[in-house]
Amino acid sequence: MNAKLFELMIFECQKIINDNQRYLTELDSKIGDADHGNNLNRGFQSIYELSSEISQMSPSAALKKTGMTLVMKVGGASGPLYGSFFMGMAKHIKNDSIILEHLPAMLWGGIEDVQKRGKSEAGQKTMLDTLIPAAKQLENEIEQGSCNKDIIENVVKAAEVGCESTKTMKALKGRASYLGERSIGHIDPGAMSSLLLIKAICNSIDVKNE
Amino acid sequence: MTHIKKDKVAIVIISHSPDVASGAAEMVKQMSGQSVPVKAVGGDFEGGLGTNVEAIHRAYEEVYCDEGVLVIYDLGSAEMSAETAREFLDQEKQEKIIISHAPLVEGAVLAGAVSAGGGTLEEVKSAAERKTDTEEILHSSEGNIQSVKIRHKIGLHARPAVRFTEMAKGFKAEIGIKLENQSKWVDAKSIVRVMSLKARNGQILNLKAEGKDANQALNALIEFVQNSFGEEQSEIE
Repeated sequence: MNAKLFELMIFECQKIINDNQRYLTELDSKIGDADHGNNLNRGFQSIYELSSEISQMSPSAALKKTGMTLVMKVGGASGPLYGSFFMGMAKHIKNDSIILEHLPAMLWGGIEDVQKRGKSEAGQKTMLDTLIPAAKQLENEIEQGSCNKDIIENVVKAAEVGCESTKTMKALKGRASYLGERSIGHIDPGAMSSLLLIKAICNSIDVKNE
Repeated sequence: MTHIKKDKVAIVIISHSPDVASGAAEMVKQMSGQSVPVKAVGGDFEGGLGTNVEAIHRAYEEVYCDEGVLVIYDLGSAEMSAETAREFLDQEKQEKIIISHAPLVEGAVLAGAVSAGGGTLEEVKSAAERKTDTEEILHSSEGNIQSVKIRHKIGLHARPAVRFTEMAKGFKAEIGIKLENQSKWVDAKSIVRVMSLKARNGQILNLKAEGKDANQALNALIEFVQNSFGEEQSEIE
């Protein structure tokens, strides 16, 4: 993982969140407090502003800094949750370098910390419903020895299916859970922002391989 | 910033709304005076509704003391922010910051009262969460009942209530307390129960006790109430 790729990933993440800011807030206005887009955008904007600094760091330090910035700048539940995700990944890095074979372990580490922070699990209409299927898919693809292009395609697909599955779920966590049955029929904004970020990161890898 | 004398359990109140947080803190101060360090944190980065981990972290650092800090929050995401901010502190400090799920306003006021009376972090937390051992006590007894009139212009308020229960806890006897015009006896060793009597100046308290040291207990408690809880009337703000 080189500095340039890391900078590109940050750029893509910032761009996709910024482009979808209103959409995320709109989703959040249906079942939450209508601030998800603005909050995440503020966080990724700050990371973008730090991108030249972050991209010079070691991978674990870069992930930690990313997580910390999200914690400090995003606020609400998403700040601590996304922060835990990136900092959790940093904790599970091996030899302070990111290689494909170690990526699932890092993702599971991030997911575990999100679960701990949110006291939540899959099927409760949260970001986990995107992240967990994506991590599982990545693990399978690597086991099968798929090529990068297939890995990326199938991971994004799994994340999309996972995100879409939150539509029929009843929210059991966060503000949305106060709505009970009325939370059914809407995509979870956290599941959507996770999908967008997965897409952005995959995009940046795709571009590099071309 | 005014200097806070750090000898009481501190309280941090976190709300999505800056107004709710500062309003609750104001209510705590009204009841507990200036002795309890209270810090209100509310709102997001732009002053709108939300939570801000950085501000919560600053609040912890500001009020931290060896006696500990009780944190009370309004909604789930505030709990997450409270936990995240705590993790930025040294391990030693983290252990003395307890995040409670007590109801925000009522919990903070009860916590403040018990802290003002010198309660430990555990006691402050239990009070905030209204954890009491017994609902009603001494159902059966025909024990020794005594009455005493409250002579204190603001009644059996927070500080004396704490000292009253502390004194009661010093005896082995089971001790019940009630207002004369009420029928239900409550545990005189429970700060939450004693405070919930809201006993005012001029009202008559009934006390009864069962056990070996019942008489000593009653004598001591009656004397305490008779002497205006050992407080000089002029001292009271």
